[in-house]
Amino acid sequence: MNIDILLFPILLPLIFAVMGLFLKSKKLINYWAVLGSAAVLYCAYVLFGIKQASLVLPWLGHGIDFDLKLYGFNAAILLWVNIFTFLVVLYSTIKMETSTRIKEYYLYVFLTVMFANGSVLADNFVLFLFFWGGLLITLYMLIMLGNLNSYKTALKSLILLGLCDFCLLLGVVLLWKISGSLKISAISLEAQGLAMISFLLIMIGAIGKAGAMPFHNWIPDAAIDAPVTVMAFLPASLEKLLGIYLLTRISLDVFHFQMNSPVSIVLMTVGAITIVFAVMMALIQKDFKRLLSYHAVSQVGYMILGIGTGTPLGIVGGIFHMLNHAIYKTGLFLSSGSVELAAGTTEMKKLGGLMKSMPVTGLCFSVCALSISGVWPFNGFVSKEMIFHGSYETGYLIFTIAAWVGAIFTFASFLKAGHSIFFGAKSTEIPEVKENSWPVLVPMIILSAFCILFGVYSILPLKLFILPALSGHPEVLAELTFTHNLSLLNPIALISMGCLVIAFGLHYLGVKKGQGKAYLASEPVHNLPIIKTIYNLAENRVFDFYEQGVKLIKLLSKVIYYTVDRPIDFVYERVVTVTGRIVIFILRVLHNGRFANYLSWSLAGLMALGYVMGTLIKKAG
Amino acid sequence: MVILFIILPLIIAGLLPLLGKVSKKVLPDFLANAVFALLLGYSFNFAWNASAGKTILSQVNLAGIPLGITLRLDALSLLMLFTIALVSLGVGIFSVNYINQEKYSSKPIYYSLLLLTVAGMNGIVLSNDLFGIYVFLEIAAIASYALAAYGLGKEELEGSFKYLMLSVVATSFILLGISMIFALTGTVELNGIASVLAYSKAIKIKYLIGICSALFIMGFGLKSAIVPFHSWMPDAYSKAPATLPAMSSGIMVKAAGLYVLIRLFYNVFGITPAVQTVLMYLGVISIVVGALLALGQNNLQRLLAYSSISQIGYMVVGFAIGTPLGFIGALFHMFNHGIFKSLLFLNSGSIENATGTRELDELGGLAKKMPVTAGTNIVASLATAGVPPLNGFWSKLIIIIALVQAKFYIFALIGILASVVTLWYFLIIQRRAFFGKLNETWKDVKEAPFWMSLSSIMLALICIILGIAFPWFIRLWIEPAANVLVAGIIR
Amino acid sequence: MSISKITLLTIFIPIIGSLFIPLAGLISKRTRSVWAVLLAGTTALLPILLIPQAFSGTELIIRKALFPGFDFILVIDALSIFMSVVSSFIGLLIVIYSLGYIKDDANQNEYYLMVVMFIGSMMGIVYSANLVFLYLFWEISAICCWRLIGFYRGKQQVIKADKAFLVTFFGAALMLLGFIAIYNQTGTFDLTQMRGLAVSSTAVLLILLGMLSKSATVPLHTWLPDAGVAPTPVTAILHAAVLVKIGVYAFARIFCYTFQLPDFWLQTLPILAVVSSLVAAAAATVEHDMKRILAYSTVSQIGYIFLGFSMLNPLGVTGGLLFILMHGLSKAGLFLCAGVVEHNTHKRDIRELGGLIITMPITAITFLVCALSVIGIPPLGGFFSKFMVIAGTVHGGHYVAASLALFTALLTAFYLFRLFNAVFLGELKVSIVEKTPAMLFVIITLAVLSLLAGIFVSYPARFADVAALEILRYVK
Repeated sequence: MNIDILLFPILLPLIFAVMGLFLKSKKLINYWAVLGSAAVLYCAYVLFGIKQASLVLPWLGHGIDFDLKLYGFNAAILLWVNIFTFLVVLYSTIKMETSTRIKEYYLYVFLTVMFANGSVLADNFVLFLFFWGGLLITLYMLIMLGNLNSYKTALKSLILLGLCDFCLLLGVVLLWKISGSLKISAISLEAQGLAMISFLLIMIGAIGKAGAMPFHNWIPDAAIDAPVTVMAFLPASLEKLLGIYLLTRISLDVFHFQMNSPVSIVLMTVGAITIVFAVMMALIQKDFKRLLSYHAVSQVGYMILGIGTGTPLGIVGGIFHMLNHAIYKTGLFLSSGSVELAAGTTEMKKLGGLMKSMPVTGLCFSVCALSISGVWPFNGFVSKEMIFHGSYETGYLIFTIAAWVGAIFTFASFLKAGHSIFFGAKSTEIPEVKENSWPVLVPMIILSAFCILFGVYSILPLKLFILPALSGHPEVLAELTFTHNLSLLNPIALISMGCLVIAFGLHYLGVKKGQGKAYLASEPVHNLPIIKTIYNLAENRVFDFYEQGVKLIKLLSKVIYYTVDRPIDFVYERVVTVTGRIVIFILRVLHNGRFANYLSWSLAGLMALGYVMGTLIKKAG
Repeated sequence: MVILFIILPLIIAGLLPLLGKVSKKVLPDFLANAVFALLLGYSFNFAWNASAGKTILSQVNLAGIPLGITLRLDALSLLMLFTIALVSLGVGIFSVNYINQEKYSSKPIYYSLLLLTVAGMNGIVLSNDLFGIYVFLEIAAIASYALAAYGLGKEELEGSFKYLMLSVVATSFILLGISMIFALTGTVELNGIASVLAYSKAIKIKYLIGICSALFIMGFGLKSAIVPFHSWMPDAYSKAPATLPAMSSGIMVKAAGLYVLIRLFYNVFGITPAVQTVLMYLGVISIVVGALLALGQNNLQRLLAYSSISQIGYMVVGFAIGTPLGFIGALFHMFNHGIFKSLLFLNSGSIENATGTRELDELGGLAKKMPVTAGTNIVASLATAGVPPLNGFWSKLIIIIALVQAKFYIFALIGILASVVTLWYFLIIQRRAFFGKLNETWKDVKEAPFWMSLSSIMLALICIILGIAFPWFIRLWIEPAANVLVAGIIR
Repeated sequence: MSISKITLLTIFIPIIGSLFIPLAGLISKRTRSVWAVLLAGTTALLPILLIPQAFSGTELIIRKALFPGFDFILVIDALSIFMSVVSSFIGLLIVIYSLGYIKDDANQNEYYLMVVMFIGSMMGIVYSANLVFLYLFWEISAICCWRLIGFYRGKQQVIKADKAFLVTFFGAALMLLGFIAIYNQTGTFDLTQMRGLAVSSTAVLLILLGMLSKSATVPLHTWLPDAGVAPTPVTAILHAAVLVKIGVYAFARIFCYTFQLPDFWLQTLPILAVVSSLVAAAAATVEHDMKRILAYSTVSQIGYIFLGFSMLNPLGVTGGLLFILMHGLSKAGLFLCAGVVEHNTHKRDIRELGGLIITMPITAITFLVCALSVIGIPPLGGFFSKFMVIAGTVHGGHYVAASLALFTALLTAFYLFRLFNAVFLGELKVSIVEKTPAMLFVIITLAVLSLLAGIFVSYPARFADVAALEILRYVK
């Protein structure tokens, strides 16, 4: 049998997933999983080398085909998806060792990979939805692997992402109606009128997957409830890759929009809001994982902002930021997992001075943290600069300012996290800790290395992975030459460096106010008059889209139930029977069994008959 | 020998009290049922004749001397004879066990009353003159008054009395009508009246015939329990032995009431729009009032009585449409109703035989103990409500189709909705008597004895078989009878 | 065997065979069970033999002359074969499941009699091309349901059974009046002679009432949740997975395939379908009784099928047909899982249950799989049907209806997971283990089929496509 190579990234994980169920020993399963993810990674690598391929099989009819297409950009995404999978699996061999449900875990991981690979490769929207939606289930199941309460969070993620997916579905269908085609690479439209609605709906699907506001609420909850590897795997890396991948495709290929068109403004607004609000939330978190998860949301804002600018620089920056973010955020989550594994907790209050006993973890954390904060020369700096420049070009300074504000608080919060966990005084609340074994460290080291590599040689990832996304957009390519000699000394870069200084200042002030306790560094901001009330509301989940949505749905349901459904039932149960009973009662009273009564009816009937007959005959003539 | 239909039951009815001295139970059982079976078989003898559209007019003679009485056997009367024989056979078989109850004294006399009723009805159906109809009407009626009071309880007597008193009013108006006709035409023979009326065009005659029509509608309408002349029925039925309502509602209201009405209007006087309109409205009112009243009853036989009123309404409506399809529907419904309504009454007899009560709220969950009764009851109930694949469905369907074709859309809708109400009250019977949990009082109840069960099963099977084989039945029995009505005034 | 013979056998083997079930019951319980399964098995098998006929793209009409206007006419085409394959198969699973579920209850003879006869009447409805016979089988199924809902004989059950019977009979009787109105117009009840006929709005309304009552669509829907209250989950699924499809099937057969709908109804139907869907979903969100939630969910999903069919475009109709299959599988699975829970715990209120995933893992997982399919999440079968219905709706230009339908899908996710979380997750309140292998076998089969139907969706989809083309042949 001749199986097309494009099917390999989909079928291989499936085979590994199913076969894994039959393995008995835990050790074997771990080896099997590493082997599997390595195999899929290799496969993705080969495909990355091929660059161009396609496969069309008949499927459902009506233009819904099993259509896979490989080109430069999605080959890169495919490669990165599998790199992250491999690293996370490697890491999991230790981190998940204690879990009793390891078999299930790998099953879901492999299924996730399958769906992710499938949706990256799909060139038909229905096929794409098929794989894309499958991720909902695996995400749900993966979160369910966490602690006892994780099912609530799992449901939250399912409902929120389900909402996004349904929007996406509607958008796709609308697009189908407008363009008459479902082939992603064949559609090319102006984002106007109905097409704009379609774009916005698909966009909700994309940014929802990536975790932008207001579809982000499950991520911080999952950070507490779900295993940390799951966080590193899905919200930190895969989902960002996929979400931004989709956003890129619809923004660049499927729809066209001009700089500062309504669509562009919408995107940028969503991005800016996400950046600012999420980072504000991140700032005050006292749990390492929760803090990271808010950053995972906040950083999406940059990507959306970048792509939303509609300027070549911004778009490239957004995509580049997606890749960078996946790298350092995975690294950060893995380091938090490493801390958790060693110390048993991720609460900043209980931790402190781990640098000595866990130098590798600490170092990797530092690299990634500097990266995310956009410190030169790490990769985060390059992509953020591109986004700043891009947004500045649009002329809407407000978005650039929002991005800068984000940068300030990002750095501040990581200063706080690093200070309280790895530096500062040693904590007495936890027992002596040791550095973890190599499968935990290697992924973090690799990721940190990428951070540095992509920062110093930013041209490398740009050429290898990002440029293919822009194939067919010559005007963009022309301007890109500008990017890799981005001068360090331009006004925008200086302002963003200024931001870092402000952040440092804030941190210093905070620590001083908190009597040297680093985890209280964010309190001054937290306690600012108006902001404090907003924070309190946020803590009470007033801004939680899910909680409020659920309340609304419950209310709406109750209203419909008691105003439509029950009244209808009332008609059957009461109105009909009671009316019947009343009529029957009247008739029964009339039939009282008296002979005279009955006789009179008969005679009256006769008279009436005679009269009626008479008139009728007269009428008939 | 058409006269056999009248003579045979009459003779046996006369003999039975005498023979009863010899054998109190077995002989009357056998003889009576043999007569019914014989009559049933004998009616088949004429079936091919009638379906060919032939009419037999036979002079009655005594030892070669004509008595001046003519009998008329055409497809319509044959259908009635067939129905009467079939239902009375069912009732007869049922009575074998049923009349063994202590409160019913003498079996021979019971059977002779039953036979007398049958003889009377057969007489009505066969008579070719108004006077004969009147006489046989009284014969049948008197026998049924006696049957209604057969248990001699207080309420039975009261019911019977009411029945009698109202009937007397009715018959006296009928007599008045007959005498007016006689005065008008100088004859009481049906074809005689028909030919005289056919040639007279005077407006005065039209008015007089109109008044006669009103009298007959009232008189025979009372016999067939059309609202507002229906009131005797529930009272007469509620306490009588179950076999009386089975006979009466199953066949007598049709033979003594409806049959005569349609015979007169379609074959003798000639139908007029006035009569059609009046009948249509009376029918629809009966349907609705009967169904609603049935809904609120607690006594099983009272409920069934009201249900009969409602079902007769359907037949009246069917006849009143006056189209061939309407006739087919109404006649078919007439036959079907004979079967399933008598089955329902017999079921109530079985229940009463087993438990001693007919009050629904005292019953419950009997299906477990009396599967045959319960099963046959479901069949009959669903057939009455017009649920396929049972016979009642087809007849109702045809009536509704006829209504729609004749553009009586509202009446069609009412007919349909009334059948929902019909189903409703039958489901109430099912729920309170059979379905549901067994009432502890009845944990020792036994299934009805053999002959009672046999009769129920027989009738239920007819319902089912006709539900499937209705086309053949319609072709053989119903269509010829309908053709008699379509043909109009007899010559 | 010839095609026509197979079809006749499909209808009459279960109907006539079912009458012998009480007789078999006289011999022994075992004989009766074997006989019942045998009958259901044969009925499930026979339509499968007809599948090649379906793909041939031609229709076969069998005509047995009875009485002018009342001829017994069967139509064998892709649509009828599709429906019969789906419903007889689910029927078989239900019979097998019952072996475990009702094995300790009274009146089993009647139960099997009614179930098998119901399957037979379903086959009758599916193949009938004469409106009167359609109605005839329609009412037989109603009778069977009436007995089945009241199976346990409690006062409440019997009252609800009566309610179900009355509401459906009310609708059906009006539908009959509608049929008669059409007969008045055409002089025949033969569907094959009426193709492309323009019918009056009144007739459509009357016929529609029948379909709505049978398919439990707002405003004639409340009997279905009430019927679900009756303590026999098997009957409940019989309703949810098979019975309610009768109405939508009739809709496809009569309104899509045969008549031309007036414009008024073409505009109104999607609204009706969506409103029904939404109202039922809202009710399911409020209810606390496991089976009532599922029953309302059925009402809600039926709205989708109506929506798909009412679009009268290939996508919508294919989607509707696929929906019938997918919903049949997964909703049956859900009900049966609920049945397993109820059978073992004797509780139906979700507030009294919890944490059962620990003691009943298989049930929990199958429930989850089926629930995901009903919600419409890939790779399960429900996704494709829902997608195609929505796609059809959008292609038909009903954007608002499509959006509301998707909102309903979200509600579906919400209430099904509310149910799942309350029953299977959280704190363990009643500790009971799974037993009765027959029941587990069936629920696993259904869950696996829901999954396979999604992965290998192209096979049923092709079948549905053929049927949809068949249906739409006479649409202008």
